[in-house]
Amino acid sequence: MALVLVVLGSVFLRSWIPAGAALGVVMTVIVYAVLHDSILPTLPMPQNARQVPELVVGSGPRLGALQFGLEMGTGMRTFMTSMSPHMLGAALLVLLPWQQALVAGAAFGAGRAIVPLARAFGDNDASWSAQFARHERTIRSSIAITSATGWVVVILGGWPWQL
Amino acid sequence: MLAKLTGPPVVALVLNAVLAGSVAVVLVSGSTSLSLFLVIALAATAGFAISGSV
Repeated sequence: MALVLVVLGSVFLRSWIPAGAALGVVMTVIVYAVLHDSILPTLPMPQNARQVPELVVGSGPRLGALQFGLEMGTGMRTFMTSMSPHMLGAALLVLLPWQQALVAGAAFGAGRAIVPLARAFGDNDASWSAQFARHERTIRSSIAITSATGWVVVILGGWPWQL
Repeated sequence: MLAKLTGPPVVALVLNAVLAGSVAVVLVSGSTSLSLFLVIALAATAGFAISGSV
């Protein structure tokens, strides 16, 4: 999926968007994401707010599971609760090279697997969602802020004033 | 105990700490090649962020 974004961005966007504009687009997404995930959760979030339909199971035990995992795992057809992936998506579309996209895709999948793995420990399965709901605001805000800081450093390549 | 250590606040704290540490390493070293590790941390955190209550 990450590689697809890089290819789409390379074919349709990178060739005609000036570097400064690409930087501006990613920075805009970052600022919007931080606002959404911290102080303005009522801002609309671009997403395909639908669940993967049950009929994908009809594709067979392997193909159906693959389709379900691909659509839900990549966030293509699910309800998203954070805009952190949008920051990643914007960077993939207009900035990151394909090598970093491959690694980022694998890391995104690993991050996606953290929740089911953590839920498997102890009695987490029953209490995870309730615990998450209690701390959701703090978790979302802190992740948005640290992610935004990280993306700015990646994009600017270090201290902004060293450019 | 294990359940507490793997609960959402602790997992989020660890991810944030890894991210902040990666940012610090890139800034202190001044090496842009290390930013790959930062991209990995950012992507993994993004994956966790949308999985939250699933």
